[in-house]
Amino acid sequence: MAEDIHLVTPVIDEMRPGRQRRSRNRSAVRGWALAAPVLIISLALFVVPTFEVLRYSFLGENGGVSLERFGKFFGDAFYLKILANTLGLALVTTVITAVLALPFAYALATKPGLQKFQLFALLSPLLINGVVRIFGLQVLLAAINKGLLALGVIQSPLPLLYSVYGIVIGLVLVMFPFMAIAIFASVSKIDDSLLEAARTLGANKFRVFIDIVLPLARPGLMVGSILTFTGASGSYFVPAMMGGNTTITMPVLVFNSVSQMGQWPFGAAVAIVLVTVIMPLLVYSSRKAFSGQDAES
Amino acid sequence: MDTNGNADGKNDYLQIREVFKVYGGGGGVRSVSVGVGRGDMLVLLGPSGCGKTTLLRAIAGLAEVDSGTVSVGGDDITRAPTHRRNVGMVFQTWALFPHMTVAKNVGYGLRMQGVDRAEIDERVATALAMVRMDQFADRKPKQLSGGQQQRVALARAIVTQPRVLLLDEPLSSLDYRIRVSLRSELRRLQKSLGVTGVYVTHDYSEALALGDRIAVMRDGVIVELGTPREIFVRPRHRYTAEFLNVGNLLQCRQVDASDDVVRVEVLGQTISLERDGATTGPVEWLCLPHRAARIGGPGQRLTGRLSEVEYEAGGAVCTVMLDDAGVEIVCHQELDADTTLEVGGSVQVSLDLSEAFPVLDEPTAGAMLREQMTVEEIGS
Amino acid sequence: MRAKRISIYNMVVSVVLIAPLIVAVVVAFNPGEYMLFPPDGFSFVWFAAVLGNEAFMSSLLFSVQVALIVMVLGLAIGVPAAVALVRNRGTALTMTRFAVLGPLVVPEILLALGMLILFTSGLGIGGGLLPMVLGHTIIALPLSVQVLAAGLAQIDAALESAAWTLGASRTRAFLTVTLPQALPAILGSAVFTFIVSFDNINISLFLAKPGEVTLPIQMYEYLGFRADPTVAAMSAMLVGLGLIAFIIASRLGAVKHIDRVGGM
Repeated sequence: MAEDIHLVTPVIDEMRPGRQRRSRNRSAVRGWALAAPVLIISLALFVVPTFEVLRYSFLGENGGVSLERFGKFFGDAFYLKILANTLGLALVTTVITAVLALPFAYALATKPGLQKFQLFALLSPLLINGVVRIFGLQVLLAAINKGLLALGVIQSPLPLLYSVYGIVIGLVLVMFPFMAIAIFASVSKIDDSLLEAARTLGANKFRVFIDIVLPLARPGLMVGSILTFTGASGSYFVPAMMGGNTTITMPVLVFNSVSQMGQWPFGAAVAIVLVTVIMPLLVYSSRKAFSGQDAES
Repeated sequence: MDTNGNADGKNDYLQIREVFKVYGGGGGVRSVSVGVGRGDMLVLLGPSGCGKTTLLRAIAGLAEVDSGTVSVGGDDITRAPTHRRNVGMVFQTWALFPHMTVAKNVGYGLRMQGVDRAEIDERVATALAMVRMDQFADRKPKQLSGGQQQRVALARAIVTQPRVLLLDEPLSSLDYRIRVSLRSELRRLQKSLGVTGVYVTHDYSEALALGDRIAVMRDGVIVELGTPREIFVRPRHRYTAEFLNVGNLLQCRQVDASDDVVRVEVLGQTISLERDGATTGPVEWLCLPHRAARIGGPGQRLTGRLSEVEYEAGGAVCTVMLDDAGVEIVCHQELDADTTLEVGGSVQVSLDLSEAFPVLDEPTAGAMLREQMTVEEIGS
Repeated sequence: MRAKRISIYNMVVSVVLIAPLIVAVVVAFNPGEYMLFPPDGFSFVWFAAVLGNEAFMSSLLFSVQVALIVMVLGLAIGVPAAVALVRNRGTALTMTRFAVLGPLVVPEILLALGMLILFTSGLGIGGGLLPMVLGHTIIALPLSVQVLAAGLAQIDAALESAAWTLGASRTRAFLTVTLPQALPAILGSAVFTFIVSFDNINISLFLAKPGEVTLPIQMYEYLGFRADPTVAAMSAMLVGLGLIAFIIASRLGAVKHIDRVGGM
């Protein structure tokens, strides 16, 4: 699309040869002028803060550069467990969300009955802040427990709240729309004729799904999985609200270090460790995001 | 009686009987019955919305019929799901699986049939060689041109040895030259494999090149059914003559009729026509082939004004508004170096009315068609 | 495939997705102090309580203030950025992409902490309105610019070229031909930015200052030491607002383009 615009400029240039260089420079300057605000904001609020965290993480007790913060983290099994918990929870969440969202997205694309309602159910939670959603989940799970107890189905309340299970339930609930929408974006692009062709070649519904739909849904699945994993590992309020004090994740540790214990450098180090560990994913997703832009227009 | 030289003389390998498929928003087919002989190609010809694609999809099982039956080789497949019908289908957009190589695409149907690996490889190679795409076995569809994708789609549809081959306007997205060359390749392939086929198109030159029989469709019904020669040289129905641009359509008035001769008055003249055995109602329309109308030329002349000239290779298509009759005549005119055609000028048109033949309008043709079918069934 | 049926599974999942919201709303009507579900009565008591609760109301006001400013700021920065994304080439394009997509790729916690450090020890401001606005902006920008860019990319460039041949200057053509067509995308992006800011938790958590706290954080803190339906009542009001917003959005046809945003 950018090509189209630049097609016009050279034509005009040819008609007025002296103005060639000026006009091309003008459009380049214009380009930078347009980008300037976001470049400045990004520099100030993205690049600089990132460096600040990095700087603080190397801040020694007596000033100066030191690795003691990282040493403190890696030297204590307690903290390592938190890291493991975070990654494990994110992984479990991603798998569960993918398994649940795939049929949902596929059905949304192929059976659009009551599509408005389905989209409403998928998107409206995103209009409400996470605290409300997790709060509602807490009340709901408590009520479920009460109900099951009353019915005599269980003897003691299920560990749904303030537990690892609770965190997973909360994370899946929060991340589900992102995964579903990402998969839907891929699946909805699948041409009907491909599925019909498979049917004429003898594929039953199951084979059509495995051989045609799944492979073509892969891009969406990948995007969704990355979003979910990074979202789950970086989430503060879900583990904070659903984990009780038993299970702590890295973001919670960061917040606690900074707010409750006033240990900013340590908190910074924890944040750096988290980002570094999920870095490969971030790199992959940023590459996807960059190349995705090309495919966009 | 068999009109297409079919060996067993029957048009009944693929049988469609009284199929109804109506859509809420319009379109679909209403009580369509037609048969296709084994190894023959039936072409469904008509404008968009005439129901030809609906009918094709009904044969494929991609659309469920409201009523009627579809049977192949004696088996009723009307309620069978698509994946059990063993039909090969070539789609307008080719529908090649983008995530599979050419070889995997072509082999997919065989995988579904449970054929073993070695045989799949062999048959895929043979099929690809048949469409001259064997060099491209490991490419992905997006690396191929339109014509190449088309050939792969064809290979994929035939490798499973389907009972019926269905083609949904497969050439319409291709360039003219490729279309023409693929057309003849398609016909050769179909004949050499002896596979029964149904081809949907809106392009009558495709229909004439590919079909053993052509069904001209409009608004969900078959208006006329016949061989290419019958349809194009002597169409029975006015709509067919119009759609295929066979000639000028002239309104006439029947003066009298006997067993074998009908006399009609047209353009101020009275002429006699041979009576067609199957014609029942009065003759109201005549078709005059374009070549029988000429500017200048021998015979009786009518004056008119030249309103349009469109040049083409070797000649021109001239539209003349006749003075007396107030009717437009289109002539395909040969041009030589000195002929000048002035738009707006007065010209003399000569019409060879001996070439005219009657064509029928709406209700009559329907009745006539049913009559024709009954005659066929009794005959075979 | 065109069948207008609905899958049972999807129905169940849809219900499960909105269940927590329904529960939160219903619980607000409890007459008593306990959050019983189902409630043992019906009362608006807690709604009155929320409206009278100074902390909640001031945080609500604060959240709205911040969100409005972020929305305007987001458009002021985002529209040119989106144009840059769609039209720039070479280095300018790469830099723009990096600036826009970078914050999306990094966990919010990192940016939140970084900005806290920046504003507190770096600039000495601490928390409050300005940091909050800036923090929300950088978080909202990536996706809102994407939405804008996607909308702009759909606009036929030929139309602007046609305007040039008809005598309009580049700026004039952009303002009178391209921008009006981009209005739905701009509107969508504005609303999106508002919501992202209004609902934000991570940044708001770190950049809060006593007395200048956003609503989600206020609710979170309240839940920390009290378990009565006040939060539920606030939630119910928010859910009501969200519902209205969704209905308006779908009327404006914004919902059908969901697959474009998801594709990134």
